Amino acid sequence: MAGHDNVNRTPLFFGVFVLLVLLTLASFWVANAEGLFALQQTKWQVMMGISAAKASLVVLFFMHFWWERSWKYLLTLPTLLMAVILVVALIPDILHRRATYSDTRLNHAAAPAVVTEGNPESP
Amino acid sequence: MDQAGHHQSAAHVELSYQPCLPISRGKLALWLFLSTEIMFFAALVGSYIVLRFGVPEGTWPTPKVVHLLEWVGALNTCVLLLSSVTVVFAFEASKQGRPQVAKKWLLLTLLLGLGFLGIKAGEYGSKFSHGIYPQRPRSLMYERADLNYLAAVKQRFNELVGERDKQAVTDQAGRVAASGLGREAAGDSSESLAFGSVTPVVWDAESASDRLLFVRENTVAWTERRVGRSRNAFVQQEMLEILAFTIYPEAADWGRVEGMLGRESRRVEQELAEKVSNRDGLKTRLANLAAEPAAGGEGETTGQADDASAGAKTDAERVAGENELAAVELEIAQWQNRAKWMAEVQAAGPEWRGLNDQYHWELPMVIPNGNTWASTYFLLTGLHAIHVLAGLVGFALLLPFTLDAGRAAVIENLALYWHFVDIVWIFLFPLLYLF
Repeated sequence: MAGHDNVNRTPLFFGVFVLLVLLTLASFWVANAEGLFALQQTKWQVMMGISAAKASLVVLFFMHFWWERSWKYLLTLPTLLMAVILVVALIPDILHRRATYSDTRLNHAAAPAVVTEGNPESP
Repeated sequence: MDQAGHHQSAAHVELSYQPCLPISRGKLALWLFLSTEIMFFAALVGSYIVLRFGVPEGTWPTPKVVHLLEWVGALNTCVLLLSSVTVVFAFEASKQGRPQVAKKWLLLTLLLGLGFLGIKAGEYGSKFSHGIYPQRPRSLMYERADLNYLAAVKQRFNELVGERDKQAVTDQAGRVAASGLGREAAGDSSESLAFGSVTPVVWDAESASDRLLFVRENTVAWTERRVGRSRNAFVQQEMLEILAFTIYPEAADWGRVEGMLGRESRRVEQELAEKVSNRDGLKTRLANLAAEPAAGGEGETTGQADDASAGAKTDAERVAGENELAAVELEIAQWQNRAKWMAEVQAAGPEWRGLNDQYHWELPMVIPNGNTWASTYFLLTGLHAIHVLAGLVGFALLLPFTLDAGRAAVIENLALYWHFVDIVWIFLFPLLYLF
């Protein structure tokens, strides 16, 4: 509740809301635009960037961080750091996930349909 | 113990508290709670990322495959964002000492939150109606078209045919009882009906009035026979994938399926032509056999024993030939049915709706990684929805009070929590709907 309580912030909040809706539409557009980015990975990064921007807007204005004093860093930065470290620490699992499959798991795992043996035209 | 002395001295000591942070204790507690919530959702999202990106390339279901509508997700995002603004306005109004205005904004927030949950419930419903559940036995999803899948489809078809037969018997018995016939007659008729409704082995392509039996013959029964008899792994795999496509085409790549359907049609055509010429050959042979004894009878009649043994040999040949002819006729009927079925599927082409959509038979369907998708989708959105619900309970409890400046701190804390729930959805929306 810190800050300038006499100022009417309604236009500011409404402007932030419009910006948030526009950013939502932007990520929708990025996901569906053909040929905008060569790599799917680039799309994902852009969409995550947009999400981070939206989250920042909400925290800064709706949650008043723009006007709060420095206690805000004490209560949020350590957890935020740990949250990021946790996600980054899980990334090697993406590469090694199938290395620990059991035979049964591997046999029934989803796989892109690729058949290499046999002649398609013979009965 | 010096409790008495402690009490005495306490009366004289003036304790001065130094707040550790320049905010109210309530707000501090809420921010500490939100810090744990950040970790909670970081763990969930991290696990989702591992499961989502650890799958083989191209096997994660796209939104279309699992009946997820991207625009509905975007709409829900906007509903939640709007509710974030309205709760901010509620806080501002109460801070400025306008309780009636604050109440209106808070009520609007509550309604928007309910709207979010309503849209979510509608989305869940559309998943459930397509057999997309996080868990067996309700989940109908299989990872790949293999023998395990074939067995599951066969079992489901047999259940459906069983239900149909049972229904037919009870219907018939009910009709007979209603018409006032005796018990004996009722028993007789239901028995004969049950006998008559056993799947006919030979299909008359023209009078396949019973769709369920016709479809079962041309999908699962056909696939089972072909997979069992073919020695070509390629053909076996194609049979299984065509089966999976006819049941649930959304998960299949049409470019790939088109080729498979074309090859299968050509195979059916060739085999059918071969079998028809085979049958014609058999027919001529049987006609010759029938003509021979007549021709021999008019000739010499010297040795009776010789004649008898020759006659027996001809009889045996004739019986064997007739059996062979019956078998070939059966096969021809089967291949003709398959040709008819393939023509039907190919005519629809990429517009083929799939058996599950056409009939609500709840057949097992192939959606690679569909089960992992459902587990993560329902877990993430479900836990988020529980948070939304908790916020709505908070709003509902606050509404009966006068929301003047004295309540601004409570509204602020609730609003902070609500914004956090909004932020979680801001990350979930692209991760679940757009990736």
